[in-house]
Amino acid sequence: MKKILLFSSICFLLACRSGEERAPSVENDEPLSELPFTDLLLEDLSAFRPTADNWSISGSVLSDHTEEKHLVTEAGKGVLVNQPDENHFDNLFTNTEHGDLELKLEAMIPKGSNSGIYLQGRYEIQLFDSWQKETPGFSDCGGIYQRWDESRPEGERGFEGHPPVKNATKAPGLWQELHIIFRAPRFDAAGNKVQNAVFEKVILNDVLIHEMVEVTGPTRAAAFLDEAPTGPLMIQGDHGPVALRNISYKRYFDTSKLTLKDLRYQYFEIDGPITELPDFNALQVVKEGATDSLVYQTLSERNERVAYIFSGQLDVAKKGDYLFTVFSDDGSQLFIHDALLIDNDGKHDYEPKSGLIHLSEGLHDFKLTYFNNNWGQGLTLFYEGPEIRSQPLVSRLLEKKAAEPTPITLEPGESPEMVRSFLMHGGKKLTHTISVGDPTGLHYSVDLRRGSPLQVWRGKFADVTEMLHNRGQPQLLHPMEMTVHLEAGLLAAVMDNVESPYPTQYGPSLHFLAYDIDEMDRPVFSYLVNDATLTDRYGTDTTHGEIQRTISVDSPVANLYTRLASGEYIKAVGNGYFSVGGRYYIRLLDTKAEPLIRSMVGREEMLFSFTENSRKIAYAILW
Amino acid sequence: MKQIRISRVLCLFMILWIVGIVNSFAQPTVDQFFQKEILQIPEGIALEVGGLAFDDAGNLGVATRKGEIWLIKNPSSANPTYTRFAHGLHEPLGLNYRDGSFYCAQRGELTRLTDKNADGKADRYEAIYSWDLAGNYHEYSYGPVFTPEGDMLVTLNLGWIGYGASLSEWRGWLVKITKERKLEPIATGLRSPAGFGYNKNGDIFYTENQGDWVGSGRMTHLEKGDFAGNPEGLKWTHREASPLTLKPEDIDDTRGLTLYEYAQEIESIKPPSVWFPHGVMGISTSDFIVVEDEFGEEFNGQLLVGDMGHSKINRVSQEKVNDVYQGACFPFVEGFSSGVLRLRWSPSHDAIYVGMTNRGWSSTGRAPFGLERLTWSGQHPFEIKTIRAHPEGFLLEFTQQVDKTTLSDPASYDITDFTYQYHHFYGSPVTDKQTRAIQKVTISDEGLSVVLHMDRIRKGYVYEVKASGLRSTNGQALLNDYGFYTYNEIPEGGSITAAESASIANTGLEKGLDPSKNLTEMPASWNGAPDREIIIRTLPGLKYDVSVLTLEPGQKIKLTLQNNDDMLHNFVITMPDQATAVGEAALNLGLDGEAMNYVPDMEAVLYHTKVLQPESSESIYFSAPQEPGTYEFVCTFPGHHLTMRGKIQVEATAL
Repeated sequence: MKKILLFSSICFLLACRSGEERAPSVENDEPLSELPFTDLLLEDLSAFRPTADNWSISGSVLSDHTEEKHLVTEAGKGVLVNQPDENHFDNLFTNTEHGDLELKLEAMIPKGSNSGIYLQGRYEIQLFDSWQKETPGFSDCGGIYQRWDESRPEGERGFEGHPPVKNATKAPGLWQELHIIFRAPRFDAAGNKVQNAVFEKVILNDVLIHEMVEVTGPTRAAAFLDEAPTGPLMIQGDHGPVALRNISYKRYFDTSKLTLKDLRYQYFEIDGPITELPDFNALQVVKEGATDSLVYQTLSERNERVAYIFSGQLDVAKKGDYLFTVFSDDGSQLFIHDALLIDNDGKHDYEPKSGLIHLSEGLHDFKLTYFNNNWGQGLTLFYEGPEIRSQPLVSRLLEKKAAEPTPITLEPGESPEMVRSFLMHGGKKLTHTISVGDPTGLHYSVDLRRGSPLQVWRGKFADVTEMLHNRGQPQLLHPMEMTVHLEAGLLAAVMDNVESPYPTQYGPSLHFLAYDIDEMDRPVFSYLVNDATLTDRYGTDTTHGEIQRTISVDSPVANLYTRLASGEYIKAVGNGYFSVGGRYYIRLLDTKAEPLIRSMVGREEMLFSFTENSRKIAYAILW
Repeated sequence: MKQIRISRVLCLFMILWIVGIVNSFAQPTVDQFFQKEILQIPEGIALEVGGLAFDDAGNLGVATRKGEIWLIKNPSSANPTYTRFAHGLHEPLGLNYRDGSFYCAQRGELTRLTDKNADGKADRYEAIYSWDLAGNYHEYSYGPVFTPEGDMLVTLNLGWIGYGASLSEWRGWLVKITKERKLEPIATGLRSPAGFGYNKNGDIFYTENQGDWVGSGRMTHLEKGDFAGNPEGLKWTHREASPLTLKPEDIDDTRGLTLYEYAQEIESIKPPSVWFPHGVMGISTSDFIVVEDEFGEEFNGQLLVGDMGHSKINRVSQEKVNDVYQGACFPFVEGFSSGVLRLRWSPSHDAIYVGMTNRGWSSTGRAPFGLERLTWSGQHPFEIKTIRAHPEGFLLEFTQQVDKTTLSDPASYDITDFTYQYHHFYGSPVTDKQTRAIQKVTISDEGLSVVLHMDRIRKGYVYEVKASGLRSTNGQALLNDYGFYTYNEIPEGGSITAAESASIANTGLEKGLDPSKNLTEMPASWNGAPDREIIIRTLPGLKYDVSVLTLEPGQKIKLTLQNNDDMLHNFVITMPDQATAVGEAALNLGLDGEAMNYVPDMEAVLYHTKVLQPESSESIYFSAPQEPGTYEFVCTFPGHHLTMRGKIQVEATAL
């Protein structure tokens, strides 16, 4: 029997993004790289057309991945749930219609279940329990479903259909993250279609599974058989249970792009080295005139110690929030009505800075200043506006792309393949990592500085092109499949008390010692933590599809803990599995082990305390 | 084993003897004295050599840039056996062996690899010491080299972010990892220290590549607290462990001092003992080994120094004058099949194993990687054995008796001297070059040496000493008739005094440039409008971002080359099928190459940019040839032309 200790009286809450209206606005001091998405509110069903009772709003959902179509809910807000029965199986339509759309959502698909997201109620991205399927078809999760024509001969009625380029589906009962960039069909004035709808990008669990895929017409089981500039988003409800959350979107329209009027430039030359924008008032204009672009390179022969002022009128066709982003090498500043909006000054590489401004319709004074001291140079201004996609304000110099090198990949043979490399994790470049490709197809990466597992994936192993082709940045190893990122912390740590925060940063308390190769050619890691030697062993279990990890200590020091999992929540879902924030499952392999689950701010953690009598903990990761 | 080797040597001897008879009146080539043999590498193994070390059993361990260590049994046999001893290492660029374990420097860790169960594969990968990294591709780590005490030395390359930068602690340093697993910083000013080790006296030297703050390839004697020239590593001298206190802001390149001149002001600055003039004595100095008695008495104590880009090995003789190292470099053996990175003596010192890779930089030997074995025939070519400082000039020693008529004739010799600028720019032109007058020649009785008395000696300068007029008593010319001597100190006892070095403010003369081939202003007749603007960028790995350009005959072109790479490049348009010839001619420009932007004065050269610094650009204007055809473009910077090139199709647009 497991004894789960719950520390702190903070109620377990499934974090959700329901609540207040989220108009696009800057909410904190973090610079924006894009305008915020608009949330589809899931406090109730008011965002949707009236529907049958199979649709409801919950606070949280859990699913036992071993049980067919299993989905249990807890009361609350923020999660859209579909539980159809014989009498209730409506599809769900948004009140809002859309044309071009960028959509993000998370979907929980129980074992054996089936649903779908229909753009404009017509073009379906399939939601399906396709876990561990090696070669996905169009009807698998992420597939663009086939079209259907009853008038065709038997056997040819289904046509088109686009499988995802790879299976990026997690285990049932986990949240699958879907990101769709959709371009609606285009029509001429007479209403004739002139361009097909296009799935520009479909990204499932951070894996690009479709790029620029055209669909010639509505897919099977579409709500509408015609095609139109707009339509409602439809979520399929008649095939099985499904839950969705964090639905957010941006709608785009072609019209109302920004233009620059009466654009003029002034060109300056500076005598000495410069590290910031010059005092233009103290400089003589070398050259000036009208121009129709910000391509300053054509305006002067000289590239070094030069500065420019571009000024004109910004013509705004649609009022709203505009996010400008200026990339420059070296410095630049953007002024609207002589007020500084973006300060990207200083001597630096080609780096972006953004600024958000609300603009009314009509003309606005525009001024962009720029300098280059020496070496690298460049200036590009992007903007994103109300229902306007991010784009350069004026045409850039033609970008030439080098031919992509043939990918260099690694696969384990009969024994595991290890690779030490740089690795991105949590937005940081880690420098002392090892990735291990196992012949069973279950792979993982470890941060050797912290003794922490970083990520797990299944299928093909590693793309090392950046490391083995030529030279240069960024030298990263890339997993070749959908990857589950784990929250990194130290392998083990001495904690003052059980309320102390668990350390996550590399420090002098922990030393990586070595890895020894075992009889199966797998590395077994050893570390020194506060004078205790710990052994960290990974294995795979193909029956369950798990990676298993065993941590043991030779002679425990007092108050030595290890953190087994950390996530938004940690909840038992049956059969010994815990859902870690709906991102992955963990299962303790020793039923006598006594881990503790504690609530910290905004998260839950599962810890294990090493003692004289419990020197070892083993658990499995499943995704 | 032994018998086989003896019979092989005998066999070679006989061949050489026969060849010698046939060729007795022909000028010998180096291959008659030193033989290269390409070793077999099984298909599928990318043996991009990062490190070489023999184990106790005589197996050759090869660390590769992919991160593998291969153990080669009988490496020089027709059927060597390769076993993958270890894998998954992070670009190890060094390998050593001691007491049953291999040691290598990975990018971020000094690692010991041990095969405990003796099955031919490492089963323990042990971190001896782990240092910080920023995650920059240019943060290479080299070594280890064992000290006599059993500690280990490692060198840490700078990162590259548009310039060489020390992005994490002790980058740009030579450090010692002690037996107690502590890091002890030794010396800094290092930029790209791929080769380092001990000379015969037990002093530590490292080799450096041309780059920012480094005018040309060089080697420097490093002692604790030394600063070798690139100021980036100085950003860590505020740390308690630092053996020197010099700060980056103490180095001001606007003062126009050479590194040697700066060293007269600041004690911790250590100018090089030997410069390798760029483009002549290679372009990327790499590993070195010490010659003991393997070549008889002749080159005893000298160093053999590899060069990656030129696929060759140079020879270096050094001496200590007034307690300061200085010396000469000479051509030795060239024509290896890939970029020479590592050199190791075989366990019995009967051969040099040459480990090669050229990924990312290219080399005149076109193979992407390889392993060769260099052996000595037992005979010496007619060579300048050493150049030594003499109070009034130079003492040259030869490997064979020299005909006394030529030896005593001042016209047999040419001496020029020059220096390099010390600044944050990449490389330096040959600067303040002068011709030295030879005022007297004193020959030795045996005809084995000569003293050249010069008009003046400039300290801190590099001397090109040419002896093309010499003939051996057999009537043969020198196999290599020149060497470059770096003059730091003048021995006492001479009658001439050291000259003050001249100001080097007015430098960078550009000769040989035909301005019409490098128009950087738009011709007035174009009325301000080219027909077409083309931007070409450089890419890492000696490439342009375009391989074929299609132009119309006579089209007015504005072409901008943007050099985004971390090396120097130009862009030269040539007549059809002339890129190779132009590239080779550029290589042969010698010391003048840099000033000429490595563009030879040839009709085959149509148009060109200058040599561009990293992160800079230049626009040139030209009209496309009227004659349709397939022209070529190429980077003629030494070592680049074989890889970095493309085609220009000139064809009329179809009507």
